[in-house]
Amino acid sequence: MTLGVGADFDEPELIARSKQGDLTAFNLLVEHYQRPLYNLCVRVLSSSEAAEDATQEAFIAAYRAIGRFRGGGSGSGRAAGFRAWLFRIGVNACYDELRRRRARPAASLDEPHGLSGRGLDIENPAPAVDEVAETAELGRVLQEALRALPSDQRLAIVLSDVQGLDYAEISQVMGVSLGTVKSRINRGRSRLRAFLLAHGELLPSRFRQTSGDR
Amino acid sequence: MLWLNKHARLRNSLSPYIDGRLTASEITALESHLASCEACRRELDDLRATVSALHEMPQVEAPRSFAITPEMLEPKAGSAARPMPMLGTGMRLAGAAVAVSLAVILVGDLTLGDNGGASPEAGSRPAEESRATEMFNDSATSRSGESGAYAPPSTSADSSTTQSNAGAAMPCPPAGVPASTGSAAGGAAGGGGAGTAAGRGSDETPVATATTTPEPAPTSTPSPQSPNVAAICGNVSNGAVAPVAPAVPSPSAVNAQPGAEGSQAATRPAANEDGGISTLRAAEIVLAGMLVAIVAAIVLEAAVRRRRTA
Repeated sequence: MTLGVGADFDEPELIARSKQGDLTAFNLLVEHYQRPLYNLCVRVLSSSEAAEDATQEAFIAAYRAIGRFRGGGSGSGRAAGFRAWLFRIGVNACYDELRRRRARPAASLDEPHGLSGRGLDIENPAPAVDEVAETAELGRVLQEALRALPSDQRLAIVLSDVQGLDYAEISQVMGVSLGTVKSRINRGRSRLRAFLLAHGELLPSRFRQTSGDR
Repeated sequence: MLWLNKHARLRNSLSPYIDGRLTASEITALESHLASCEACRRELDDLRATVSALHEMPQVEAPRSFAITPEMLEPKAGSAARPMPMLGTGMRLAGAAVAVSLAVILVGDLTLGDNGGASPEAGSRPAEESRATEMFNDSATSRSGESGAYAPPSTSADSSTTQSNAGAAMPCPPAGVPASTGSAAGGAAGGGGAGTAAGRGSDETPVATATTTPEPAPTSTPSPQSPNVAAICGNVSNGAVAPVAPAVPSPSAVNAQPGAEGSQAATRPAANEDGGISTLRAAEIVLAGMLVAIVAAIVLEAAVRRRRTA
């Protein structure tokens, strides 16, 4: 998980300035976190277009709410809390996006403010899958496997194994206890494993060697 | 059995084991189990391969900058403010629909209630009722006309068939009396539309009724009564049309006049039992319409709000 922390990136300072309404400072945070947040949204939504909308909405919501963010403002060790806080907003934005697109299928009312007034082809996630995984067959299969998971397990797995968050951060993002995080990751991985075994012929040889010899 | 329990429990700790989430004693217990359990060893390998594959899932670049512009912050405020007027409109609509429905029910109820026990208190009622229904000129008018007409016959309790029977038995007094009172009180026999003339007359009807009801028929009705005329008389009383000439000379003339006014009478609600029923129908229809409107407003409102908040 590379966040590309630059030498001049002072997260607590940027958060403090953002709380004063400094949009330029906040946009430095956006620039820093947009890639991981967008990837999280792609995994959750299985649609690049929906993920784009959700990511934008999440940053806007985060900017509005940053005054209520506790931690990261003063100390150095608290900065990690900002990623979990931002991801939590991102996950909520994803669920809102899902609800919104389910609520208005193809023949939707117009979107007068153009915040997200683009096409609504969530039903066809193929471009996103391709976009995400076109470089690796394994990625494609894994994406399929992830989509087959229940949403809470999928989110736990994505946060843990794709985004590299630790259990404490995941518990913050998902708003559940550490024990729940542990059991969701555990069950999610077991199901992933079962899926990959059932589709062993799709897997690259390296994976087949470790799991396919039974 | 014990071993199976232990196996199942330790199987569930494989994933935390990979993540380094086990305590030292848990690690010891698991590793000693792994040494003797082939299935758990395999599963551990599978899980490790799965996790490492997930770690290697390619990350995509952000398709664009998600930097926030001041413009992005504005439309959101607009769309946040917008649901409230929409909500207000919906609620206002629903409230208006409820109010109108209640009014319609009230009027329908009053009209119908009068039909039930008309004759005795007919003279005293119109004043208060015309107050209650003053917004609905037509029905108020025809109602007051009716009260004048029906005081003498006192047949009104039943359905329209008994009423027309009464009309046949008593040669046309209902038509004659309200017609003369209406025109006398309103003084608009030849003037404007029947509706307005009758409307003006309605305020004064109680007085006029009191004077005219005691001696109903003789002056206004012609002697030869055919069933045909009786039916027509029913029509006239139906409409309570004011500007009918006080004295009707011949059946043919009677025929001619109500023929023209029969259509008006048909469109006008609530003159007698017939009218009361049709008013009830109309009320029901309007009420149903209002309910549909309310439901539609609520559904629309919910849809709009959901869309806005999303």
